[in-house]
Amino acid sequence: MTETQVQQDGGLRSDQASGLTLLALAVWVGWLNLEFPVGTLAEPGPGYVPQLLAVGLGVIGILVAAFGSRSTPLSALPWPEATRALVIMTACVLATYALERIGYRITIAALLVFFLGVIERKAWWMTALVAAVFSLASHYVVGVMLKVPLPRGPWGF
Amino acid sequence: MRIVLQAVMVVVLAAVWPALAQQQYPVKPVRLIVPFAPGGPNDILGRLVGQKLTEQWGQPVIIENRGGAGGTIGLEAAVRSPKDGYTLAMGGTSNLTVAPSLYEKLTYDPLKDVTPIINVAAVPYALAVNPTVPAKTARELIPIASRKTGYLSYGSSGMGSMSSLAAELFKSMSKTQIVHVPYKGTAPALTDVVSGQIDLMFADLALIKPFAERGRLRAIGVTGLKRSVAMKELPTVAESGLPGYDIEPWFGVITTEGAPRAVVTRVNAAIAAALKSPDVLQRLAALGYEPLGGTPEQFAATIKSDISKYATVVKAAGIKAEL
Amino acid sequence: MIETFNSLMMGFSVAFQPQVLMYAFFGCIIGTLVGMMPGLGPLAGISLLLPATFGLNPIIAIVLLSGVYYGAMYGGSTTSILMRIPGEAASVMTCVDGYAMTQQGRAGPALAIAAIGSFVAGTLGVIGLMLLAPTLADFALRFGPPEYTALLLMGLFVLAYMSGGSMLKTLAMAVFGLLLGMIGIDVMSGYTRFSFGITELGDGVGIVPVAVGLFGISEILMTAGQADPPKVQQPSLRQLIPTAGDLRHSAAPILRGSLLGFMIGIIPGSAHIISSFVSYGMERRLSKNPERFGHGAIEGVAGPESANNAAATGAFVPMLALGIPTGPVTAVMLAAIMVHGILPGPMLIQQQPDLFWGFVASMYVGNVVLLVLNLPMVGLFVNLLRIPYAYLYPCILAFCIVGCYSVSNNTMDVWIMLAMGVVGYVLRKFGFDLAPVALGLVLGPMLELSLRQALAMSGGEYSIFLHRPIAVTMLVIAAVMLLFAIKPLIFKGKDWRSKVGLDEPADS
Repeated sequence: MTETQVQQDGGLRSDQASGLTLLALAVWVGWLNLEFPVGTLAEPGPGYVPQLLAVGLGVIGILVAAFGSRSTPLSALPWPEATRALVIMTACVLATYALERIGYRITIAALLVFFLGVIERKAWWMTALVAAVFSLASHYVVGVMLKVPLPRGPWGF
Repeated sequence: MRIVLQAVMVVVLAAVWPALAQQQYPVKPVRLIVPFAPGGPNDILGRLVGQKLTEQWGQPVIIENRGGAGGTIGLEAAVRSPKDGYTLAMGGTSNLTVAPSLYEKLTYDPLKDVTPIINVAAVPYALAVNPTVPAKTARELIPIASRKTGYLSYGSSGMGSMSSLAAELFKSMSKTQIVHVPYKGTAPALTDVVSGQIDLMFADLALIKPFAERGRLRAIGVTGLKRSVAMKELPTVAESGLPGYDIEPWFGVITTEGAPRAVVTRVNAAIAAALKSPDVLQRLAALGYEPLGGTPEQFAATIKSDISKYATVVKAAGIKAEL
Repeated sequence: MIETFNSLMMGFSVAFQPQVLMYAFFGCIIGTLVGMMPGLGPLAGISLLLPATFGLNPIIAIVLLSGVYYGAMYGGSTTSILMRIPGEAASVMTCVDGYAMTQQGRAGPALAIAAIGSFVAGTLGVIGLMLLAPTLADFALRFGPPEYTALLLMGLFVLAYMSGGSMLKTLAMAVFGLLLGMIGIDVMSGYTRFSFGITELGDGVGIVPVAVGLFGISEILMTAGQADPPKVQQPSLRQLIPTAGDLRHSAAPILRGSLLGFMIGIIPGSAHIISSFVSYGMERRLSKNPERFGHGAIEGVAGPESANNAAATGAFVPMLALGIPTGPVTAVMLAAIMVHGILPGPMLIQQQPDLFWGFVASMYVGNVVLLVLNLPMVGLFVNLLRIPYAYLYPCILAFCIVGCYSVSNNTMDVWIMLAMGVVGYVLRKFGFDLAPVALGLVLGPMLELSLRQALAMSGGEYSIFLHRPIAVTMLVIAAVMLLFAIKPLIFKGKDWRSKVGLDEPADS
């Protein structure tokens, strides 16, 4: 144990962090599962298997954390692309929210304009072209040819 | 004088305008939500309705499949839609009349949040057993079904589905002990009845018929009060040994509450007309459905009475589910 | 035998009618397109075309729909390999080694082998269908809940062979996947589990949004912000063609995958999704260099792709021979036939020989058509990689959004996809493998349901498993598989901690 304590000067290790997160998840699931009848081994109720799985996940989480003392220190994990990823995700979230409110074509075009114009800083005419072509073409292929009802905005477009 | 004339014209126009506008319904595409998976009998019915409406109105009626959760997902979407009458949905016994008793936390109230338009077709259900079960009528089945060892098992398309309710009603009325084996969907359950893994099932007559005709299943009776035109020689379960047994699933078209009265009337009229046309009748007969029709008020009354009817069944069966 | 041959010739005469051929071709193209769209899979494609088939004659209807089905299976592998986005559930395993090969500049051979493997598997499957349909169908009928439980348990134990990294972390991900599968209405009791009041979650989280998010979106999140964007690939013609070594290495996996996939496919139920997972695990286990898996082993593409095509063909066996749907796709196809007044069932082959043999023949034709379509297109697809990543990834993201939305017209699926994208990103950072999540999600609900059904049938007695020979056999195999998997842990003298691989983050 002293060996690992010495190695721990790097702070929390990645496996320890992930193991503990798994444990937390397991506890949360187990708590949510309390409202379902568990039943018996002969007649498992809706809560039986989830409880089993939650316990299993918790045990695995503990094990992962316990043996994680030699894994990469948390602070050493590389996250260079995290900011960009966050921006991308936020844009997608907003687009999904807008999808059924503003309509498919406008949302997708706006999304592409954001990505190509704002994030990637491509030439404005290229951005506009790609956004327009993609949005209209995909609407045609999916919405018209494949007959998937894609949402229309309040203006009917 | 001119001013008076103009005023009169304005007043007349204002009075007539709403009617004029409504008569033009639909001016844009209409959504018909089918709260069931594509390919199933309910979906085909919905598509038939949609097709006929498109033909009559010239405006496309777009089918949206939003299946899941016993038809409640699609119905909830319909209830949440704008109250302009441009979003219709297929409502059936499952999501309109059974769901309220089954799920405490149902997110819509079929009596308050829904405007019934017209009841389209009745879907006959029937009781089918695997041929190795030595019973040809319900009367013969009941003693076998009461066995504690070597008991019979019944399949359903899920706890709370029409097939399970039909069976539970049978169970409580005949005081027998059949064991419930739920499946995810009617097809796998019926497959297992055919192969003998389970003994019996209540399911769409249309699905049972092909197997019954080839002797791979034995149909005991239809679940409604009247025999089905698709299989006239098949007695009702009530006739064949369990008097008073009555389960009659149906499917109709609804929209959200607050939709304009004129729209409701127009849609009702269009579908009622379609239900009289020979090719629709033929398609329905091929599916084994029976056309219903009627006024919105009749549909509303059916919904209301069925809600209390199934509430009793659910309670007697002790089914508790949760949404 | 002669009779079969004659019937087949008659079938070909039906299949080669220009109209039938045209519709087969048409179906294949639509299927490939649909399959390439992330999210839309064969079911979506078939459901969309279903209304169009009402007016066609039944042979054409079924040929069209099965063309779409097949095409979607072929198309799904394309996006999996090129962009790590599973076109549909069955292509998840192809993402792993297929994309790794793309990163090594070997997208061409990967796509080619996937097409070839699919073709061989499809053809073998059709031969199996043709010769063995009635016998196999009867075998399939002997599968009930206890047999399913055993089969799915076997599938679950394949996990142990699936990744080279930490066994503990793989297990964690599998359990995570299993838990995800618990969300939704519990068919046995009617309770809705873990839905947080959201009605759309009542049907559970679909494998498609999860797979697209976990694999595809996470990949974009990881790559888009890198300081050096991925190099634009400019493969030469030579690099597009699989090498002799590739072909040699793929031969056995293709054959094994075909056999395995076909056997799994004939069993009614959606178990054929797991055929690609099981094939991957099997190939990895049988390989002499298992550490290559996950880093671009061609067997990891050949096996799963063959397995899922063979399973797709096998799924037709109970459908045609008995009139029993093996899953949502075949259910829709049965509906398409029933609308024309043809009642599928055991007598279908005798009563409607045109339909059956025409269908079989058109499947041969369809496989050839797809191979001919796909091989030259390999060059075309690989050229897609020439597009600078900065333009590519926004379009991919948009495609994923529309694809997932289209599956059920539900923004909920898109939310799930995005959420799983973030989850996948974080998991990869922490060194967890993603494929077991998909396996767990697919298997979990089915396994739990079968087990509880078996117990309901037997009145709570676990001994039912011992009374059913097929189930017992499979359970024994499962136990053997498990023992083999943990053998290295116990018997090899190495430091068991490093064997379990807790130190290195596993590649996914």
